Amino acid sequence: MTPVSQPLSNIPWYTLTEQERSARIHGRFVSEGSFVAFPLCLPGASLPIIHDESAITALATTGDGLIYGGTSGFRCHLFAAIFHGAGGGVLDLGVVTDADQCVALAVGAGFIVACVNGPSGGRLILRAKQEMASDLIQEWDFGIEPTRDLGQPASGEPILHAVADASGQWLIGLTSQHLFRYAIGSDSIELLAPLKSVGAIAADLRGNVYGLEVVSDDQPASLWRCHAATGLFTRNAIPLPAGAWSACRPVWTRHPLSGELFLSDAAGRIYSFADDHVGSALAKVPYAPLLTMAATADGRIFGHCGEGICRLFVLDLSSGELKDLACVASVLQAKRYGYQFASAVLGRDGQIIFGENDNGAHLWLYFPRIKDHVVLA
Amino acid sequence: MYPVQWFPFSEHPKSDSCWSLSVGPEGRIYAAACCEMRGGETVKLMRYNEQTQQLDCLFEADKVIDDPRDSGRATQCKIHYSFAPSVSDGIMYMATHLSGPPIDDCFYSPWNGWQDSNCFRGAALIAYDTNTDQVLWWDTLFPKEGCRCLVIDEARGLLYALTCPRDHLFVYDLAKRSAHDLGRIGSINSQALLLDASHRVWSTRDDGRLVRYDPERDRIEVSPHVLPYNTDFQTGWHNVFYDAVAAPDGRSIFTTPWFSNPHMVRLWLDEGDWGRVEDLGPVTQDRSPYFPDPFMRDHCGGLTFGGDGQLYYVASRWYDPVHNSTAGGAFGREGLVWRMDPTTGAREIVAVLERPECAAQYVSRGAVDRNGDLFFAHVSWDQTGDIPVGIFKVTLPAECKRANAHLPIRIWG
Repeated sequence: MTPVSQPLSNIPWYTLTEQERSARIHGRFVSEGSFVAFPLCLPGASLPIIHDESAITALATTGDGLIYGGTSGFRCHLFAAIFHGAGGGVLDLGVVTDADQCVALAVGAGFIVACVNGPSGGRLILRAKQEMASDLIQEWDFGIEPTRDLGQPASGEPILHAVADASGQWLIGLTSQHLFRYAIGSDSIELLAPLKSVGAIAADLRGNVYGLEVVSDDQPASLWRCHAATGLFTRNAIPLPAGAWSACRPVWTRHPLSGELFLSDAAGRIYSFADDHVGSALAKVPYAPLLTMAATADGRIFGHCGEGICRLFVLDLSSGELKDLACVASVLQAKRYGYQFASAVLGRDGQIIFGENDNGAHLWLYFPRIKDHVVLA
Repeated sequence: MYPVQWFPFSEHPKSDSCWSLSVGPEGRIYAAACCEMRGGETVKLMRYNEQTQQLDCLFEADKVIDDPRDSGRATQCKIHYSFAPSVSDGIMYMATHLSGPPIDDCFYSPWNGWQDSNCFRGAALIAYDTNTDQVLWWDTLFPKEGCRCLVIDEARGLLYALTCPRDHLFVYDLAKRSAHDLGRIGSINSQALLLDASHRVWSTRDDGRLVRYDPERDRIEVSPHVLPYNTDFQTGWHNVFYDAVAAPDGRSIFTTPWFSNPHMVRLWLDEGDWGRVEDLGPVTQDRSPYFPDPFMRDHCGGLTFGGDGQLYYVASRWYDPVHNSTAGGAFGREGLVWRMDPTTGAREIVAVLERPECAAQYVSRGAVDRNGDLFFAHVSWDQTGDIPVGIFKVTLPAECKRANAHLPIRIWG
């Protein structure tokens, strides 16, 4: 047989224009904005948190722009990060002994509180906020504060989630069987009520914390409410509209200015929650489950959805339009594909920091396209 | 120079790449005739026939694994570095890979396709009995993803595989016929999985560090060391395994990376906590450090040991107005077959791979058959050049051959 010399035009791929080929490669990733995947270290000066101990499952921020995180995997680590000024690094604050999962972090009253799980159940870990006043370009100095193990809120029960209230004085948390309260910085944890709830919980700006009541398919769904400062707990406080609430693990976010809350159901619908009322679904992500959400001050919600290889989405609250922003990749700092995420917080300047829930995890800083920006032809 | 013969995949005229070539458990040469640049195609399994001195087509993958090429999904277009011979029972295991577009398209993105109806069905693991020339069985090794590379732990009845695109390490239990996800490694697939004497599986991470799965610890661990690279203009990033071959004594492994300016590296994986790494230096020519050379041009693969105990491999050479102004042959690039003495590191060119109509600088894999001759798989430039592709046979002098030269057998793709 005589081999055939193929001009490029005989290859179907090369019958596309350069613009079409480029769109089919680059257009499959992050169609708006940019990601920076940042390793969990000070690049060039330390190694990242160990590969299978690094999945970021909890994030929290402080008013001065520091980011705290907790990991899950073979062991649990806590870390602090700074991405402004002369910063640009992640500091491993160490391993939490006898823990392999961090489910929540809260910041308040000069402390950070980590909710971790291990073979014996869930515990609260307290430590002072991390001093990060160092120039990470040229010269730095860190002290690592000791941690205090505050013990288990409920003996043997894993912690599902916890949040600080709006004042930052109280932590409200959920174990597999109980609701608990902790005055941040104190020594004691208080059980408030027996409660079977699921998924994450959220705090509004009025001092309340909410979570999803466990319901069967034939029961109307609702939210419970707990006023953090008084400990007043109300079952079935907020009725929920029709939705996929059974077996739902809701994801929450709060608008940074208005305090309006948003939550998701199992089908990936997004609902707004304000003034004790949950409205009908605003939108639905293209692929369930919804994994993360973060609301920005300009009225958009960004997040991830889908199993295996997740996709980025944005919901514009003013227009109600939800856009699929394609697959996730970072081409700055670390070149990396992003497949699974479990946490999100708003950064100092409106960027979003996503926690990658995977081996070799990175912090993913997302800089959205400026709203109303027009891409010129 | 040793004589070289070219064997095109005449029974797969559209094949544009041969990503895998391996000796089978019985000592014959198997090759994958892949087709990834055209929609609605499939990979065909070929074997070199010593009697007729031709390639026999053994099967078309889509037919034996019930995933038709015209299904509208991304196709079962290739077998990548995923041949794994089992000597005890004569079975050649192989796993399919993705990238071929659906029949009505010219491109497939496994990331974008993940949630779509045209998503690749998944890598198929095929058990081919070389005694009877029959496919004994097949399983979906993992859904939606292709298999980049495969290694067999025959003593334990396990196969290890690396998925593409998510770069997860999987283990497949041959007795239970079930697969288990061991977790993600990174973003850049290693192109080979290695096995050491302690049944640990070795790979590499994006930053050029060795990665190891230890079944006793059930963990993926990362080495403190970065594999050797050119520190003048590289950082270690992308310095992942390309090809690797075990020395005949089984104590060390020679490997080259999937990156430009590849170094030959010798690994003693069973020494110390993280093995011992020896840099044997670059295997291709100098180049400008100011331009990121594509590694379709700057490449080294086809590592194999001959019956004479010498290491053979194919390294590219190309025209460069500053660094190599007389090289490259008629097409500006060529594949050189090197022979290297593993004890002294001395090396010499023993053959040049040439096709009359195009360059042959990119060889994916090499193998020595039971008669002691060398075979190399050719991948066309960007898989767009002259089709069909095929394999080269390099006939070694009698003094360099021995019976059953393929033993001890290579256990990874």
